[in-house]
Amino acid sequence: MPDQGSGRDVRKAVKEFLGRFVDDPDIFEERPIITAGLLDSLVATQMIDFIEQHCGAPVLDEDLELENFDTLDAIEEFVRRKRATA
Amino acid sequence: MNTVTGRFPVAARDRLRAEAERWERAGAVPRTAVATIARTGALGAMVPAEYGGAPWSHAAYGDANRLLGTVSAAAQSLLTVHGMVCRSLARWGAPAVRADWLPRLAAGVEIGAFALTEEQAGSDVSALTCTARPVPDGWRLTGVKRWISFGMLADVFLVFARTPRGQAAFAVRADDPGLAREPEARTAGFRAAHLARLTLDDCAVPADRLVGRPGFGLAEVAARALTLGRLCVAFGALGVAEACRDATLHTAAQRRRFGRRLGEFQLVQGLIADTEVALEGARALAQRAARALDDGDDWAVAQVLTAKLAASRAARLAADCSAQLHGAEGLAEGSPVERRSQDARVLEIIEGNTQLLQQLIAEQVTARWRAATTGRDA
Ligand SMILES: Cc1cc2nc3c(=O)[nH]c(=O)nc-3n(C[C@H](O)[C@H](O)[C@H](O)COP(=O)(O)OP(=O)(O)OC[C@H]3O[C@@H](n4cnc5c(N)ncnc54)[C@H](O)[C@@H]3O)c2cc1C
Repeated sequence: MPDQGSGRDVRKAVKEFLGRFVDDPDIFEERPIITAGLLDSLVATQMIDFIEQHCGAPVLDEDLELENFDTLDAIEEFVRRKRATA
Repeated sequence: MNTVTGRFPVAARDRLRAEAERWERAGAVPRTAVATIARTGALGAMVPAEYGGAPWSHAAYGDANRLLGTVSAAAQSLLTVHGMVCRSLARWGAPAVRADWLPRLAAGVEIGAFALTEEQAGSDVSALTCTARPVPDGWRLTGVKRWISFGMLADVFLVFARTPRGQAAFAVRADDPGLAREPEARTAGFRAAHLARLTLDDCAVPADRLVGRPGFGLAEVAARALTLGRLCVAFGALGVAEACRDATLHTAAQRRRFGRRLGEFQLVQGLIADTEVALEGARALAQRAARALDDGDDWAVAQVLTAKLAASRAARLAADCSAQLHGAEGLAEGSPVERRSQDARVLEIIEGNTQLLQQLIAEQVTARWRAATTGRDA
């Protein structure tokens, strides 16, 4: 669990993760991550695993909402909330 | 959640092997065989202990799939689909469904099946048309699911459908009102796999049967289950390949033509060597993939895809070589050699056909290369 800072670290780490699968992860500053259909569904599961393992935010069944994962802002907010209650 | 407690006993394999040809002729793995498999603990291997399971490592579960694969690919596919359903419910099922259903699934008292494919949505699951309509007390599901392994025997199904807010997964019971099932026409392979066509006609399920959330049916629930399913198929394919290799070696040692045993011809030795190289290469990949899942490796998904492709190809190569050496006998309908040739063909289609897997593997290894060249996970 290397990153435990403010939340900006999460944005950077997730973008770096997404950058493995697309040429320019900055597109996700503008477009949704899951519903835009730019990524294969396997990558979505890998992203959830990544958020759990590298951002210290366990994802439970009630967390699995698009509102928590479809944008970088949402992921940042989700991890911040999770860390606050951990 | 995985531990290494479980192991599929060789004695169970031997007992099942004695009956496997009968299942093929009857077109069904019988409930007595399912009970034998349940007694090994394998049906509870993907269920956490708090719900009555005794979790096995992926390596141990893989080996169970391999051993059962040497007996019958149809029987092995029970571990694939039941394991996928158990894992999905354990991870994303509502608390009441987990508490109520998982203990029976873990004990093998009930069987789970995985209902994703439709007539126009096999490889391209994003095209699925089955719908789930929200109503005040839950959902109404409508659509037709095809080629569902163990669908004729299953007590519960994981059904994928489209909601107004994206694709979602649902836990459905075989006796839910509005669900009907009928056997699929006999396929060339997997003849004993209880393949079913499910028709959902405004099938009513309560609200807590939603597994995960809308929008994540494919992007999380199905995709995660398929990674386990592909590992199971990879190990099942190793079992098929082992059985074919053994049949090849037996025939090469026994059958005499032109005054010599077949195994003395160098061209036949080539078939034996090619089989061995494909099988043992695939075994190493499958074992590596299982370990990667057990260790939570970032690239486990890539390793599972690679193992599934290699093992299904190894099974087909081993089956082709074996059929070739058996001559006319290898083509006789109902012979073990013919059965394994047909089953091996199926293994290259289910849980991601070969071409789709090639595409996914290329995507994953490119991502791994990018990660390495940008300095992370190098
Ligand atoms: C014995 C058996 C058991 C099954 N059990 C289950 C089950 O339990 N649950 C379930 O949901 N489904 C099950 N299925 C269905 C199975 O998952 C589908 O058959 C499979 O996904 C392929 O879909 P399809 O048959 O519609 O073929 P299609 O998707 O139409 O594909 C046909 C062919 O097109 C080519 N192709 C497809 N996509 C690509 C691509 N991207 N690039 C290049 N070529 C491509 C491939 O050569 C492929 O074989 C089972 C099928 C069989 C035969």
